[in-house]
Amino acid sequence: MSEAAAVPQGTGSKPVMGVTSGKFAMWLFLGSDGMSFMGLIATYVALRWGQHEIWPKPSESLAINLTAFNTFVLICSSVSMVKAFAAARAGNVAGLKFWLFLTIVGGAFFLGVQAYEYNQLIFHENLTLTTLPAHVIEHNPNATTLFGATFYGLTCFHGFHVLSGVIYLSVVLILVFLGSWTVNRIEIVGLYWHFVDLVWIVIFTIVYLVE
Amino acid sequence: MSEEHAHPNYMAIFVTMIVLTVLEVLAAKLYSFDGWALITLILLVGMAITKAVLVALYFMHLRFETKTFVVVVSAPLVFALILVLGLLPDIAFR
Repeated sequence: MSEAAAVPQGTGSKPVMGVTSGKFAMWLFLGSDGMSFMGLIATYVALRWGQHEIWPKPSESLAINLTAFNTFVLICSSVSMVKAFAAARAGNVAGLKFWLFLTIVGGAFFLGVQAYEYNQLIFHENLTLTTLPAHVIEHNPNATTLFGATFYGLTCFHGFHVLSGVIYLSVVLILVFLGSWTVNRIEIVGLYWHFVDLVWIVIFTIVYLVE
Repeated sequence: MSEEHAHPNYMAIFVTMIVLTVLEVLAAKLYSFDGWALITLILLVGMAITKAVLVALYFMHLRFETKTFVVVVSAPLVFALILVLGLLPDIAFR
């Protein structure tokens, strides 16, 4: 009994390999989540590479510049997240609130642009899960509709991650306002947020930029 | 692990990532005029991987964790690679 009493109880932060158990758990989750993304990306690469002659050029229907700007916004929100973590470590609560809020704004902005992009593509370009824009078919009559299906599959799965991240960050910000936060908790939400940024970097390149 | 090193120069990494993003978009746009498909592909994927690694190493602080921990969290990458390589025969023998 005396040995058990020596172990810190109820803190949830007993170190595993030099990190807290909460952080370790988040990394394990990100590992499995990365596998999900990798499955989708591998499928995308195989489908596209296997029939590249009937695969529409992304730049013919997707707004590259708009999405490049959105990528910029997401990278900025990752930087504001590390700023929030640095403020948390320095015990600067006002700074923590400010940078967390800015991170949430960045994520929400990203989602807003994605919603605008989907609206343009679906209702103006006619790019859906089963249809292609008229000008794409005109250019390449055999073009495959898998282009739309894989595009929405990948970007929507990522978009849900951003949405989850915005909700997660908002909950953490509310907890900060309530005075219930730890540096560890800020670091864990940061890990999730940076992962979403990391995955987007890969998706942006292979879905939008590679011709 | 070392706490004193856990504050990398975030601004330098941020600037590097923005520059790489701009270069990527430029490379993709230039390709529409040239026939450098393979080189552009290698450049684009290389720059994307560089950015992803920067995020993992510095923003996610992997650079400052213990070796054991890095090995544990990198393990899924091996399986992810198998996912991709496992599909290659399907493309090759189509």
